[in-house]
Amino acid sequence: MRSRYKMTPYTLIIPAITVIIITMIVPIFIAMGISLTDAKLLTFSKAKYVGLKNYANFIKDKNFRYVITATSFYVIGGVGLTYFFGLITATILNQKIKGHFIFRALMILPWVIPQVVLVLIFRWMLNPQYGVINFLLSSVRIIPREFGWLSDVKFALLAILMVTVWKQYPLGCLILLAGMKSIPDELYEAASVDGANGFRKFLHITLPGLRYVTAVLILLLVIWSFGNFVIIWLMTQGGPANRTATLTIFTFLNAFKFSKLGYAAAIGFVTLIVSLIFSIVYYRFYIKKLD
Amino acid sequence: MKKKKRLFIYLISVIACCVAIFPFYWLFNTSLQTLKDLFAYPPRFLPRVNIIDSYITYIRKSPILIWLKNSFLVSGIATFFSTFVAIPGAYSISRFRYRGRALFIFIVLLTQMLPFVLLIIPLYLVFARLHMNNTLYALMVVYTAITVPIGIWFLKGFFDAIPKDLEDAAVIDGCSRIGALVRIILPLSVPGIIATATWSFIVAWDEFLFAYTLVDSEKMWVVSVGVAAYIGQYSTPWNQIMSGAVMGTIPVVIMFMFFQRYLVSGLTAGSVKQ
Repeated sequence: MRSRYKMTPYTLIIPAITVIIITMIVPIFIAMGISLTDAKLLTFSKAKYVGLKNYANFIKDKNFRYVITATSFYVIGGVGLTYFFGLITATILNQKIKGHFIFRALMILPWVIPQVVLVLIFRWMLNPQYGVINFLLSSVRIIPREFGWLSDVKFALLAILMVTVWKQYPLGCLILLAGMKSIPDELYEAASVDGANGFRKFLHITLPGLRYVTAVLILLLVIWSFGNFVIIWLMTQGGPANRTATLTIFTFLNAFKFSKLGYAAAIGFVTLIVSLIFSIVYYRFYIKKLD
Repeated sequence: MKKKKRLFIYLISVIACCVAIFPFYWLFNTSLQTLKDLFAYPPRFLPRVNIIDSYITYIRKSPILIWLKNSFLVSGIATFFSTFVAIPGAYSISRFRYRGRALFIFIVLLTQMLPFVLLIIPLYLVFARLHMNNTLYALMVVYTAITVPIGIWFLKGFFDAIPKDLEDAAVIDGCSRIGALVRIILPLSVPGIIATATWSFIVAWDEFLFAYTLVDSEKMWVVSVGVAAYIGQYSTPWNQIMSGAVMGTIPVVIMFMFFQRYLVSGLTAGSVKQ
């Protein structure tokens, strides 16, 4: 009887853990194995062990510099902008006004739109000749009348970031909003008595009160940005000239376009390691200290 | 002064909402335009004649209904299995303290750091070996797996919030732990289960990478792959492409509108609390 009781928690979690291990953890080890071979997509059975050669080749790759630059811009830009817009919308929604349920529903709606659809809409809105964004921006003379966003590296990255932020900011908004709600009202009341204005309250009460939530959110956003594939792939497929190819895009290109599975697995593995190290260091040395 | 401030907040809220939903407005707007008006300059902000021609043509011309059916099937089944295994898993982590618990939590969190492009390489090979590529089963398995960890995390937050005394009382009254889970906890966590299932369904519906890589034949596509196939090709007019995109979006938007309340509380229960 006693021992049966002891087994209960294991019995309960075994199905979930089994699913995760079989479909996610074991494949990672298989991928690690593949990354040490010269496996090709079509002649997979003829793969030979090559040691760490794929990793060395990646560092020597002429695209290495571009991949690192694109990834850094995408992650830093995406996380920063997502946080910024999340914070703004959360601040708006935190005001106690009538109808805030409707405003919340509308403001977080972008999260539910499939990424594929979002990319499709943006590519149409950014169409050089007929796009509405081009029309609006060129009518106030920010950009010329016909403007190809995706053929210029900087603007392609900007366009990718636009879609990414559109998709992600609702999550940032909700998490920050929950953080704002957990800040006690008395703090604001006391500040009002002392004559602080709205902006000072935001600076000295809201932002410090959000420190923990912010730390967790940034971690989540960094991990997601590292792993994001769909938006960049459908916007540019890494182009022009591989200049928007992030680590994930470069992995996919090598695996399924150039059929170099071993090489691709090595790049994918680097992505995983970077993400993992960042998460552990960030958690250990930053989030833990905030607790 | 007070009144002015409130008006200002309303104004800002309305502007923010307009920016947020502009892409959907444009999606609808484009899907209702006539072929000629698509290329008008300046672009038309309202359809001239209210036509749903593009929808009818698109349904006739493309396998959109099959893609929608595939998406419903895959997302629905994955959601069901994922929620089904996440419930006991979350309960185990939430209620018991035992050896290996920390490891299980670590594994659950680790999955969130795995880049799917890395995962797809071995999974592609394994499914090919099992002759399961090009089937919807492969997608069902993968989507179940990728939604389980988030499901566990969501539900753990909900279970943590339910007082432990309730089940202790039930156990003393002779109920088994699993009996207590089924009879006491589950009825109390219906909102959490709805939130988890909604989240899983939306994630599965949104997924593109696995569907794009594992399934080749057009009849087996899910709606995300079907819609993406039109990106960067110019033979299908944009109003028809957009009507397909609208049909691929409506199901999740409706679901979201219905369950938004639960979803928001699920997110915050799982992520904000330390």
